[in-house]
Amino acid sequence: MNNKSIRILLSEAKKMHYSYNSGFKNLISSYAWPILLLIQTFYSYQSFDFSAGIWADFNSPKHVIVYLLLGFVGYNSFMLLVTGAFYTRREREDGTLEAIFQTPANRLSILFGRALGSSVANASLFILFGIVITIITGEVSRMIFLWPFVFVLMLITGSIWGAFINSIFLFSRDIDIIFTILDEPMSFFAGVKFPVSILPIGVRLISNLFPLSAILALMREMTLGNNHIDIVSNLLLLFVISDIFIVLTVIIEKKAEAYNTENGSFNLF
Amino acid sequence: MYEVISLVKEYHNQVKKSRSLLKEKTTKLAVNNISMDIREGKIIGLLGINGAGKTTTIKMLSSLLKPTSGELIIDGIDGVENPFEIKKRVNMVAGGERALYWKMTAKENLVYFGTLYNIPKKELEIRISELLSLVGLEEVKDLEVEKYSKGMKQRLQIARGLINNPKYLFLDEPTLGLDVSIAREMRTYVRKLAVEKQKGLVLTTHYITEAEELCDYIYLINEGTIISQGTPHELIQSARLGTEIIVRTNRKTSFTEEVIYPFILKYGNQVIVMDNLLELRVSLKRSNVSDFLGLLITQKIEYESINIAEPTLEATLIELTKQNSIKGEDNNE
Repeated sequence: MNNKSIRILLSEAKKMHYSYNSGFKNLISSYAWPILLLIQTFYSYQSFDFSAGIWADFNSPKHVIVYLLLGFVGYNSFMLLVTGAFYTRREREDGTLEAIFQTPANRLSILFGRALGSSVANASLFILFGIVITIITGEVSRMIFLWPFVFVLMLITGSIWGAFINSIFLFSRDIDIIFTILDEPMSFFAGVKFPVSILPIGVRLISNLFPLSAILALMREMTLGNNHIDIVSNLLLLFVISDIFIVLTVIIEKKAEAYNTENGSFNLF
Repeated sequence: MYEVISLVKEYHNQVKKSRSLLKEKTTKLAVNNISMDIREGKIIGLLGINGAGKTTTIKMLSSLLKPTSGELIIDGIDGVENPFEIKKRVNMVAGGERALYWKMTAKENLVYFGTLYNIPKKELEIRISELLSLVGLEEVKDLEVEKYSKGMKQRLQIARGLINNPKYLFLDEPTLGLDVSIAREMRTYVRKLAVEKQKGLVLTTHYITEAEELCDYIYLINEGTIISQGTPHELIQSARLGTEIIVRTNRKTSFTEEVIYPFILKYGNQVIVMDNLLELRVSLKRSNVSDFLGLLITQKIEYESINIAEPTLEATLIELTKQNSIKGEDNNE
């Protein structure tokens, strides 16, 4: 990526933030939803006796809350990107999508910029969850180094995922089904509320298709476990999945632009 | 120069069959064999009724739509094969309040779109300042667009359309929905762009007086085909519409059959009586106007007013479209 592409990417991210993600109401709604879900899930786990070691990954209530916090912060970041991609529909109806594709700007920079803009909107929640996890675990020095790294990793992986979702939304304004597919199923397959290891092998294979699974496994291993082999293997898996999604994004964007220039559907109202 | 050669656009759609859940494939010919030249410093008008193919044509010229066949040669470059070369050289402005980010200020909008064109930062700053002053929005540049009036948004659209300093600018009904004074203001900007900035402009509009005032050359489109072209004056001449004379009586007399008989004898079915026999209308060749007025005097018609009107572009376009539709129906038969 050259300087020009990076400038476009940052400009797109800034626009997404100014146009759709800024403002007090947005901030409150982006906090309220994951925190409510978190409380609901945490209390549904209260009836279990984790000291009895019913799941290998959990051994105390403290462990459970950190596990869930990591799950929710990851899930919220990824779902914010899906909802961010929904703005493509609005842009198609507002005529701005057509104005963007009228320019010779690098298409991938636009797609990644859109995703980055939505990812950044999650930064404050990420910091808040980081503070809470630090207080619970009591490992201040470890978290100070670990959490910024996790944030950057999440930003990069999330942007790749977001660019992919945005490329799908370029095809049509009537693909609300994407939201249905990615909401609860993604939470289930990625193991937001429980460890994927308890699922049957076939389901675990599907789980690997979601980049969120790999990032959650990595975040949890780095925070709660300390198995270096697991960390490296999860990092490699994340790298491979991200590469696949970048290639898919390039292919889908090209096909979507060709489709829209054939049918004149960059602008529908 | 931007040369458009034998442009064709077919849309392939799936349409629901009546009384069935099945869909069938249909093909609609939206633009059929259109050719035109767009020169810098000139304003080209693309006129026609709704669904004539104007917007489809403009979108193909802007590279937002791929032609089914035909050539787009922009400054010697094949634009169909290299759509990004078109994107660098043209821009499009559509009427209404769309294609802007309402939560952002005018300046933020222009910075954003300017960045998409890879304009260096310093150059972009200078250009934005010039454009804001051109469209008279300098003082409100830091106000969110949602607080702008319709006219202000439209002016900002023009600034957005000029952000890449395009050689060719396409204006799709730029004065749509604007009040009279703002529309006039807008026309002044458009004229300025051609004369002072030497932009090649293509304008589509439903306001024929606007086209008459601005366009150096007009293409009249009907059902995707150019049915007539020329300067506004040439078009009026080509339709061979006569000078229209409207005579109103002073209410003491009326245009009864007996009174108008000598006129019918001379001008046949060109003579029409309207408004309860109080108004006589006749369409004549310009050279026959004095002859008609002489007849009016010799017949001792007591008139209240005489109005002599040269054929307008509007009447011409309606007539040409009508003639073309009749021709089409005849061919179908």
